[in-house]
Amino acid sequence: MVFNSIAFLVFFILFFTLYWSVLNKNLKVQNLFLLAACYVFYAWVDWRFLFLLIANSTVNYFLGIYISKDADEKRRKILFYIGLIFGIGILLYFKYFNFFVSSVAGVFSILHINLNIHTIKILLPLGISFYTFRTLSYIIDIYQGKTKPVTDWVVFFSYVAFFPCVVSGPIDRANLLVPQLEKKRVFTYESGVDGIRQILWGLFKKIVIADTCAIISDQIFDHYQTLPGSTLFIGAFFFCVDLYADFSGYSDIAIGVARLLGFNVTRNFNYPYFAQNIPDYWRRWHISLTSWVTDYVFTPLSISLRDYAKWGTILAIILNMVIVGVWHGPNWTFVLYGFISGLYFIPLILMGTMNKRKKLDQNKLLPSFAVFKGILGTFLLTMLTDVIFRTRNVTEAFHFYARLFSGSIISRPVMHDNFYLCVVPFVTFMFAIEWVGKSEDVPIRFSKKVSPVVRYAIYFILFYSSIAFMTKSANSFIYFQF
Amino acid sequence: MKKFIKHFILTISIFWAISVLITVSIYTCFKRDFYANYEVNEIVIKQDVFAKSPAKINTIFLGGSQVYRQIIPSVFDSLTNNTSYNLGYPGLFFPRSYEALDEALKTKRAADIKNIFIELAPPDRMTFNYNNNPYVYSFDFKTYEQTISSCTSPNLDKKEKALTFGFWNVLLFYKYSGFAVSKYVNLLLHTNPVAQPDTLTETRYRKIVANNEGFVDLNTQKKQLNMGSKKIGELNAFKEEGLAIMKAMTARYPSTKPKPEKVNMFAQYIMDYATHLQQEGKNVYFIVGPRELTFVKYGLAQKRILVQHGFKVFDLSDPKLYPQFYSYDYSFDLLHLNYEGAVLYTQTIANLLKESNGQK
Repeated sequence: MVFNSIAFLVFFILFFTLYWSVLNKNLKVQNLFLLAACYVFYAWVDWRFLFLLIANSTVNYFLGIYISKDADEKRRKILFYIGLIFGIGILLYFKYFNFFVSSVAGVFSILHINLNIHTIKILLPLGISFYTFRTLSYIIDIYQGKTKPVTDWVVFFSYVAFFPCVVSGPIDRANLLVPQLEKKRVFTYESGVDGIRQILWGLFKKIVIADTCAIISDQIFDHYQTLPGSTLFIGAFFFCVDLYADFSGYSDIAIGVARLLGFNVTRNFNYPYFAQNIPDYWRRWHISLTSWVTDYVFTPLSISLRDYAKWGTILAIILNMVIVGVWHGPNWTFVLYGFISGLYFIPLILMGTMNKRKKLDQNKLLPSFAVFKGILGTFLLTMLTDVIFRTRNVTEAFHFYARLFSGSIISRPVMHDNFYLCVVPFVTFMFAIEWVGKSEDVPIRFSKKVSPVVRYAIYFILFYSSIAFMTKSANSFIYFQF
Repeated sequence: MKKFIKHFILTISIFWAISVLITVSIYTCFKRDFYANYEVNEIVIKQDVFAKSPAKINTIFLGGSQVYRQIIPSVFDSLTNNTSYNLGYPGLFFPRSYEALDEALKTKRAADIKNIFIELAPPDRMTFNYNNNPYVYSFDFKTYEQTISSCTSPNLDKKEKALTFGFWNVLLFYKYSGFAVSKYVNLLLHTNPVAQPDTLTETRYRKIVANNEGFVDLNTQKKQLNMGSKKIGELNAFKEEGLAIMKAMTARYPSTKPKPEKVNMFAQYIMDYATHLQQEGKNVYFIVGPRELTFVKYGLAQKRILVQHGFKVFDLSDPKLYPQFYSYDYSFDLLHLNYEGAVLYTQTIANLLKESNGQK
């Protein structure tokens, strides 16, 4: 079930009504109902994947209790490793098995050795990367004593399968979501309005920005061999916007839906295209994933590599970024995407400015030239890296770059049609609103300085344009595949 | 919670009302002839071939797949000394069939046309097609009234009524709540994303249409346009059960006369259209086709009204009079005749025309 569909609208209205009316009196019943709804939502796409989700929850539920209870350190360690192997194993099998097999065979074929091994047909369960990371962090935190085990199975299973976030994040930690599941939720007018605002903003980004930018970028990426560099530049720009609007749009809807149910979930995007350098960008982009990888991969790695000073940090960052890249999927393009993203950090590490945070002046309407230069430079770098994200393989990515940086980059762009004329004003509108509202986590939560007429006019534009651009078959979100 | 729900409903209602106002204003202010932009490629190709045909066409056939697959202009012409062209297409029912006729009559050919054959059928049910361009662009309140008025017919099955009522209302909501506005804006600004047309298929189709005066039998289409395996699967299933189905279809043919019905807006539209054509010196003939019993029932009811008002209706639906159209041997599938059946069907229409004109 996708958020931008009639099916979800009907499902959510029914769920919301029962959740806050009849079932609000008893927390256990309400949680049980939430769990049932989570499973209906998840099984809507393919009910077979539900078994894996339940199995994952069951194993981690018991492991969490036993790791915490057991006084014997050795046994605790064994249980912890079982949890890690189980989680990573599921991910490796369902997501990376064929990639690993074909890559090994490819390496041996270079050496003229035919391994005669075959890939197998494996269906990728929806949201596996998201809920596996959720359960992995739970097991690690319990082992490290950072969190207590969840003894109420309904709460734990609801945490793993929490429907607003199960298929595409944010990847919430247990210590954030579990306490909210354990106590009675209260609906407030303010949180309700905030939730609606965030959903409206998310729908606008998905339907009006992402789905329309995708039409343009798809046309260009699908015919890149015949198009000049200037057109490829436009294609890369629209894909970059598409990727952001698609994923952050989903996150906004997820956060808004959770808010309507009385939950606060992790913020996933903090206006990444206003970042002034690469570290700043990664602190703002897919925050729940980058903070997860930072906590569970980068920090332990950089501690173990601290003897190598800056070079240890560089190695840790590159490994960290490669994991972020590979998390997106079993393709060498994602490995390269992560690797290049990691390389971007090197100059800053060597200059010792990596952790220097550049804050935006919230009171200024226009950025200073230095700030603008930083934003533009960072945007261009990420835009160029996103090309690898979009292409089907590494060779295609290099061919794309070769055409992009050819002399034709200064030629007149060739467009199939004038559709971009319709899209550009909306993209500008989105960035303008985000710039003005950058001090808030939802840019359309306007301050009281903004008159109600302007506020409601903007809400209406978002509402009406979302309706106008909506297509019959709801387009799926890019991050569903991860 | 109450305050939140109250505010939410109020805001949505106001927004929705403004959406409707803006949408209606856009449609009213920017009325354009979008036909060529929205119509299905094949229909546009057929019309184009018709407009550019070197022959002096004086007879055209309009309707759904039974017209498209079963009326062979060359056979018809050899018997009636006319030059005809088949403008039928699968699912081409009211209102789009009459729009197709309008388009045909806009061409230079219009003055040459003397005979127009129109298949009788209920309005399009457009199942799940409510947001397709052809429906969205051509739809207006008048069309809505006409299609919904057809639901008052006592000769239309309850299921058909529900489908017709449901989908045309969904379209009404879809179009006038603003969901279709981007289609119009894109058309007006010429910013429609360009589809990559399969030019090879289009070229082949144009050739087939030109060689056969618009008639395309299913065997030809299957062979030359690589019809999907699903359709072929259906055909194999039909082979096994075809005889039994034909027998059951014959048995279920309406034995009693259709229930008397009032002239609703839909029937009135058809009569007004036909009268207008007659005033322009054209002969209008209606056809009630065989097999599809829902259409047969409705067609017979319409036939009754039309005959009462002096229009000519060729009824080919009765299995007692025309057992060949219910014969398994002449069937291609459940609803359509094969090539041999189509020859017989065309010959029958030609003979009825000659009979009607007092020729032998």
